[in-house]
This record gives sequence, C-alpha cells and structure tokens, in this order.
Amino acid sequence: MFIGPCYTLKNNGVSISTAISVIQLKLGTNGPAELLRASQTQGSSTTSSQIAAKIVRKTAAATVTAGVAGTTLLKQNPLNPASDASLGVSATGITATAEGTDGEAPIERGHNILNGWEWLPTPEERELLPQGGIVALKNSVAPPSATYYAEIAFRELRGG
Amino acid sequence: MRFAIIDGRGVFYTVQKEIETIPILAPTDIPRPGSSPIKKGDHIGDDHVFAPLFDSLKEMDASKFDTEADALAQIAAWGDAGKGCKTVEVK
Repeated sequence: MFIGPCYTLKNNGVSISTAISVIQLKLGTNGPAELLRASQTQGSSTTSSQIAAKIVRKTAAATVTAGVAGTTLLKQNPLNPASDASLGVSATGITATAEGTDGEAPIERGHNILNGWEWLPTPEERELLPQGGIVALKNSVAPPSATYYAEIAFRELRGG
Repeated sequence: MRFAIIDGRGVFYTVQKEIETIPILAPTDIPRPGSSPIKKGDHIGDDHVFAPLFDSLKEMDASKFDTEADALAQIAAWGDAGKGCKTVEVK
C-alpha cells in the first residue's frame, strides 16, 4: 500500500430542494481512502437560510445518477490512473432518488446557504473509508431550492 | 465483482473527455432585479460535449463499474461511440 493519488467527486451544480444525498462515494476493492475535504455551496439564491449537512457512512447505498470519470469524478493530476472508486447507480454517483440506509454521521454542520459549508479536517481527523465502503454528503434538512455545488476530495491508499 | 469497459481493440475506457465547449448566449434581454440586465447575445453559460477516452492497456487505469449493468448503461449512453465496446470483469 502506498500514499496514492487524490480525486474529487463533484456534482457540477444540481437544483436541489430536499434532504437527499447530494453526492455518494463507493470505494473499490484495492485499498481504503481518507476524506480530505468536503464542501457544499450554492450559486443561485440570494436569500439567507440556515440548513445543516453531514458526511454520512451508508450501510446500504443510495440510488443515484452514476458517476462518470472525467465529468463528476476527477483526477488531481490528469496523468494519474483512474480512481478505483466503483461507478454505478448504487455506488459512486450524484443526486440520490432513494436513500438506502444511513449509518453513522461523524461530521454534521449547520450553515447558512449564503456562505456554504467547507469541511477541512486536520490530518488526524480525516475520516477513513474502508475498501468497498460508502459515504455520502447529505443534507440533514430540506434546503431551500437552489443550484447546489457539492464536492468530496479524497486520497486513495491502494496497492495497485 | 466489478466491471470495466474495453473498445474493439481491447483498450480500457478511462475517462470522459470534453471535446467541445459550446457557449450559450442570451436569446433576449433578461432583466435581473438588483443587478444590471443581461443583454441579448451575452455569454450566460456553456454546454459541454464529452466523448469516452480509451487510452490504457492497464486494468489499474480503467474506470471501474459497480455492476455489469452499470457498465452496460454507460456504453448505451454513448450511443454510436459505444459500438464495439464490451464489458470485462476486473478486480
């Protein structure tokens, strides 16, 4: 196992008004990953509103729009190998239409949608995701309708 | 069990690459409360055209799909660009 490359999962801006999993990451089988950063902002509303969002481990995957390498799942360096994350409608993707089963939510923050939310843990606090593990950035409450931009940055720790 | 996609040459699908950026221009004047109006012809956004890139012989570089159905759905979404593509089981 080595300290592997970094990737970003992002939704590129989606109109959201319900308490859904905005983006979901399912790791592959070749190694764990550490979550480096997560954020949710919005780009269409000027109305102040307080909401909450969380990083939640999923024990059963949400049903999502499958992620696409190069569009929603991006490399930090274009020359890096593709992410080992599993793409699919019950795996890595965006904008859940059914929620699966939520597990523990180690990170949860209230924030104003005018500011957005950026979770940048200290190195010791980076949540680890095991091989095959699933994690989502999910709104804890229904947010006001707006175009939300969500991202999770992660580093794969894998062997090959 | 996971799956990757190969093209007719046996080369792995790695990423979707943007091949064209099409500007979206305002079709008419658009008033904006509290801000200056958008004028007809102003650049208000972009459409992005993507195509699959098959550029690695190494399984490690391939995009991996959770199920074969997920991989087949991706091939179907490409339309003509997906012709001749097959799924293969990967680690």
